[in-house]
Amino acid sequence: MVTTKDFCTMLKEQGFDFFTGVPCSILKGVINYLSEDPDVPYIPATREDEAIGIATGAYLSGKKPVVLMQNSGLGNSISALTSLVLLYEIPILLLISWRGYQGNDAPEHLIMGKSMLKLLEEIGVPTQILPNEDAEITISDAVTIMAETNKPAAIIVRRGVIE
Amino acid sequence: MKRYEAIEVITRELNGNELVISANGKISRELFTIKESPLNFYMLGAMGLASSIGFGLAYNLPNRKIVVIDGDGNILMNLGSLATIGHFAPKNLVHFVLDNEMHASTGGQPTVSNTVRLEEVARAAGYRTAKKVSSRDDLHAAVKEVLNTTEGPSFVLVKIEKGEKEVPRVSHEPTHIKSRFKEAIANRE
Repeated sequence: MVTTKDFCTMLKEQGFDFFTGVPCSILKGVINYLSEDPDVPYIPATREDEAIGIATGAYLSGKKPVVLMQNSGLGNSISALTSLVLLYEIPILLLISWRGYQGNDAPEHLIMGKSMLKLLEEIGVPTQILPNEDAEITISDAVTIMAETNKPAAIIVRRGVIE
Repeated sequence: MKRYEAIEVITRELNGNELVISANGKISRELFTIKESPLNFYMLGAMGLASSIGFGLAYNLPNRKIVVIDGDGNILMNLGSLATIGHFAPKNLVHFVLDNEMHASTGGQPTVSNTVRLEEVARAAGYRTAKKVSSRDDLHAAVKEVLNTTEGPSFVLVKIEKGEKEVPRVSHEPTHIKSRFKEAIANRE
C-alpha cells in the first residue's frame, strides 16, 4: 500500500505536471488530492476521451500529462487512443482504476473488468498493475517506457493499493 | 460560401504565430491545401477532439493564440468540450465551427445543427463571445475581431454551403505532424 500523498508526490517527482480525467471511487483520494494541490492543475473532463484530447494538447505545449479514469471509461477512450495517442505517438500516462477485479464487483463492471488488460494489450498500450509495494518503481518504469517508445503507458490501480 | 472559401478567409488573417488545430476529414485536408504550416496540427482521426486539444494548448500557453477549426459533426460529438472550455475560459482560444449541417466527409449525412443553435450553447457554456455568420464579409469581420481580442474564448459558427473541392490527403506522417508542431512551439516560446 502507498499513501495518496506519497503516490502523488512520486508522480510529481517524476515530472508529471498536468492532470485531467474523470473520477472513480478507487481514485477519489488521488483526484481530491490533486484538485487541491496548488502546484499542479487538475482539469475535470466531461468524458475520458475529452481528457485524452486535453492531455494531448498539454503534451504538445510541453507538459507531462496524466489522465485518470475508471476502466469503464477505457471504453470511451479507445478511438482517442488508437487514432490520436498511439497514431501520433503521444506519451501520456494513463492511471486506470480496476473495477470488476477478479469478478467481484457490481454487474456493470464485470465485462470490462475481465477484458481491460486484453484490450490494452491488443491496441498496444504498455500496461503495468500497481503492486502493493514499490509504487515508485512502477512509475519510473512507466516513464522509461514512454521515453523509449513514445507510447502512452498505463498503470492499473486496484482498490486499496493507494490509500 | 463553401468550406474551402471559409478556410481561406480565416487563414488569410493569421499572422503566423497562431497555433491551428484542424478537425479530421475535409477540414484538415483543405487547410493542408490552402495554408500548410508546421504550426498546424492536422487531426486525421479522433473525431470530436480538436477543441479538446486546443483547450489543452490554450490552458498551458496563455501567451499564444490558439485557433481551432472544427466542424458541426465534430463538435456535436463532444459538446462537453464547450462546457469545459466555457468553464475555464482561456482568453486565448478562438473556436471556429464550419457548419454545413452534415457529415460532408462521409457523404453528406445530415447532422442536427439545422435546428440546434450551437452558438447559443457556446454562449451558455461560458464563451465570452459567440457569433453566427454566413456571408464572406461577416466572416472576415468576425475573424479580425476574434483574432485581436484579449477577451476569449471566442466562438464563431460559420454557416457554409455544401460543396467539395478535390483536395489531396494530408501527406505528412502523423508522427511528423506532431514532432514539427511541438518543435515549432518550443522554438518560438
